Amino acid sequence: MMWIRALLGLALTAAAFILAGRRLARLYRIGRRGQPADPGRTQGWSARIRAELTEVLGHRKLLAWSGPGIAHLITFWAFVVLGFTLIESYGALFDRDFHIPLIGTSAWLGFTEDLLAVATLAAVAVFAGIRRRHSPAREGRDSRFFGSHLDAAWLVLFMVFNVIWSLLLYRAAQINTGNFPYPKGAFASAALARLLRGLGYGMNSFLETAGLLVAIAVVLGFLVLVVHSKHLHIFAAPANVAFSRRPRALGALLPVYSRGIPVDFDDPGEDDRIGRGTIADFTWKGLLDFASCTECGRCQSQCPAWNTGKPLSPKLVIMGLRDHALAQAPYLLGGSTVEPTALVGDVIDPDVLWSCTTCGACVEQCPVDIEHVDHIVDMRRYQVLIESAFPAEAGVLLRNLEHAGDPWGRGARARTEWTRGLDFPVRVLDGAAVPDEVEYLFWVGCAGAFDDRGRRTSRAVAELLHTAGVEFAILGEGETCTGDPARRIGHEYLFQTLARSNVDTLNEAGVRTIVATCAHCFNTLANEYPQLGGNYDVVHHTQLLARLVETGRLTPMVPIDATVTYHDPCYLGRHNRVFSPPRELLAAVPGLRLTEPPRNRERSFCCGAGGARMWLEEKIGTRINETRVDELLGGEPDLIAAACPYCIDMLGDGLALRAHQDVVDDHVEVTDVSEILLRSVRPAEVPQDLERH
Amino acid sequence: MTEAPVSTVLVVAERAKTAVRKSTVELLTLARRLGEPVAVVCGEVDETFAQTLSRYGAATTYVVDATDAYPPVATAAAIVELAQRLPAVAVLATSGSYGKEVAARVAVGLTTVGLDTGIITDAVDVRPDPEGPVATQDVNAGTWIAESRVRRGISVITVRPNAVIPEPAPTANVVEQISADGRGEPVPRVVNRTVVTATGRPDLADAAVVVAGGRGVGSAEGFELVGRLADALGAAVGASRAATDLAWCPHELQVGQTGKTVAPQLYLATGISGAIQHRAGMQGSRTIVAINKDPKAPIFDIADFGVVGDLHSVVPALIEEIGKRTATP
Repeated sequence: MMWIRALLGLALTAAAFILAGRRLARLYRIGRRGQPADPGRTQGWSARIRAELTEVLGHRKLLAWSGPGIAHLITFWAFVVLGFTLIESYGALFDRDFHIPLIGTSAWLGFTEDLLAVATLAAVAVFAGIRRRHSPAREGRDSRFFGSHLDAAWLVLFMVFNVIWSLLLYRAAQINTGNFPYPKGAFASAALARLLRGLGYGMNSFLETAGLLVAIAVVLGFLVLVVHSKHLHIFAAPANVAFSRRPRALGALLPVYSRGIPVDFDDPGEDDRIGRGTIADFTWKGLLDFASCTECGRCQSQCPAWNTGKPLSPKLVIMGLRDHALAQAPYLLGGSTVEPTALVGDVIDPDVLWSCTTCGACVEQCPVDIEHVDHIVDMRRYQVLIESAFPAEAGVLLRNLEHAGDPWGRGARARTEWTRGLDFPVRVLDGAAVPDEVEYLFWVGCAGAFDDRGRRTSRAVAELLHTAGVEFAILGEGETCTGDPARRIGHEYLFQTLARSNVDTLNEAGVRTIVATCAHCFNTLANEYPQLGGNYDVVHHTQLLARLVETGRLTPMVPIDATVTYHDPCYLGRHNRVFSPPRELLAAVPGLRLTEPPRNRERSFCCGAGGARMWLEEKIGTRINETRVDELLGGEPDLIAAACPYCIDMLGDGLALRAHQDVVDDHVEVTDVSEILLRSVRPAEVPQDLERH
Repeated sequence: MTEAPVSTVLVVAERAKTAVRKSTVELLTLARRLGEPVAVVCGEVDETFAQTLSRYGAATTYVVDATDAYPPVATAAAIVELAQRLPAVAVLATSGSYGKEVAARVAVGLTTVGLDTGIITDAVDVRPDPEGPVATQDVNAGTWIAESRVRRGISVITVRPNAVIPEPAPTANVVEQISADGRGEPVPRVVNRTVVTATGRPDLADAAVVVAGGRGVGSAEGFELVGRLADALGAAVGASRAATDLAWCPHELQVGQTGKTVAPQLYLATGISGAIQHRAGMQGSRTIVAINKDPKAPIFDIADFGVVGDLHSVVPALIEEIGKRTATP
């Protein structure tokens, strides 16, 4: 009997290893055909090890959603610990009374194995419940599983269930035949054994062998299923987490890399790959991203585009690219000379590509650290720089940036108009070096200089800094757009031109510390200019003002009897982790009551303006800004505070529409945190400017 | 004694529905400064069309036979052929999607046949010079004025609408057919045509007068008032994004960053606050008049004339006054 059992077990194992091995080898070969990634991927190992510990072993990102997170944590650790039972079952193939040497009969190990087996059954029940409750059939597009492979997911759950019951079955039979390693501790196996005892020794002996073979077959079948399905993440995800951008793929965008080397836009090489035009242009890390996607849909559930009826879902983008990569495998592996088709149009719809606001909600959520925004921007780069194919309205934006240095085409001369009427002079560098007594260069930004709402913020910040006795200066006509919209629409060349000119201006003036009111300028100055040799201490105005309040240089005294709700700008919060300073400022104002919208901080919902969408028409679905305004109005605020001119414009437009529709009272206004602070600090000197809403 | 050779200036003629587009007669006016204008138009034209062109100085009108060819390609091919046949010094086109495409294709085509050429886009004026036509451009949002000249060969210049006030200079009227020889290159074909419903108003992009309405107009019914004022002035109707978002008027009427860019002689903004995104589409207007009840609206920062008041009383009064003045002989 024993030799049949061993032979069957080994035959099954060999068959499964051949099937799984061939598949894995093929996937590996496809991955190796990817382009070289940027060199940063293999640097900073302490952060990478920390990520493995916290995100893979500790499930940090999965646990942000407690229910499914805990269920997944249990399943993950169960599969790690059940590795012991795998050793035991293979041992039992050859030695009926096998046990792991040294620890193999300890009650604690038996107990742990059984505990995790039972917990996994509970986790499977939780997963099944979640999948039923939130099935696309019930919730449609609102379901995070919409568009995922549902049958495969159910099959995986069923297989996990099979792994557990078959394990418990043969363990129970082992107890009844006297071949079980654990005299004590394995409570679940023991309970099942009591039920089976009545069947007699012969039957239990059969169940022991049959159960063992079924258990091995199920595990091997599961292995084959895993490498052929989205469940490949079991192997791919730990690798993907190891090679992802650290601390996260947010904030700065990477420069355009070709073959792992940044492209020199002054003299690009003949064969440089600019952006991603076909699947062959993706790096191995991109391909690993696609292989890691588990189709959980957390990204989709947070995406402002998807949630307002647009065709973009970060999950479907990644799935589409993965399916396309597998379909193009013959070309990638050199077996076919038929060039892969263009991505945009055939694989990714242009409406998908241009709907992205680069808000980063997907990247923030992804438990396996897929870099959705980078892939979308890389595909935009190819469309803009190689195909010149972009939404028509973007032409106006790009032309204005080229000719006037700002998105609206106002030109340098109007850059200081916002200072008119201030009752103190604003120091304008105009090419001169920063004087010693100046603590901060105030980066005004295009919105802060030209946009009516933005100008109010610039004036409020200038007044507050003046009141606090902070010496600051502005560049005046020397400032141009930082290049954020150009870079995020994919026009890297224009970004480089604008950024280099600004870096030259700032370096020549000897600027070291910068305060910016625009979250996008802030992000670009702080995170992207170092790529071009511009290294500055950059603070957002809410950070600086919070410090001034904390140190007593500004004292909000006049009570404001109002309810305020705070909208986290994506590029301040999620991309740069500045969550507290704006809230501290609002909390410092006497009388003000702060309410939080349902989606806040890391999960804040975009205003719709990022990724250069500020200058594009939003024609599909409902408006993102209106959706967000409705959510913010849920807290019945008198004031909606934000800390970014893009957000303030978008929310201001949304609010004006709702006021026009009589959905909300006329007194509600959208304003920058600094303006609210100013009302409490210097009430007497501002009313004429603040009456205008 | 032989006559001095007359240099020919090829003008890309465009149509507004069936009539000659206003920017085309502006081009003819400019072309006469440089030499003898010759018009090139794509597709069949009627008698009046050719007469209009000759009234503004086009001695010859070449009609490009392009039944189902893609018009910019056919027109450019015809112009390249004409430029070789006539002693052409310049090609003028309107700075718009059609004119720019033709101009770019002409410049490439001339180079292909071995002629020297160069292209200048978005000119706001053109003047003759012994060394070749000099084009004026607004640079850096009007902060600078640049004058440039094509150094060798045929100058291809696109000119913005409303650059010059059209002046008639009647001449004889010759219409000639010319077929678009694509030189064996594949010429794109037109596969479908959709007719846009006529409003009876001038085209927004090159109207001399634009009356625009914004959120302050209040309703779709209120927006009809804007249309009435436009009709009284013979103007085109524009709108801010707020008004098009509220579906008070078609989306195509949006003036601004993401809509149309206009630069009329007169821009009359009613109930428009003047947000930067709107301003980006109309800041090049010659004269801006604003009607708004909020004296602090930013539109007044750029308006040459402003009326602080409720447009629902100001505009009807204005229409009445215009009616009175146009009625008196």
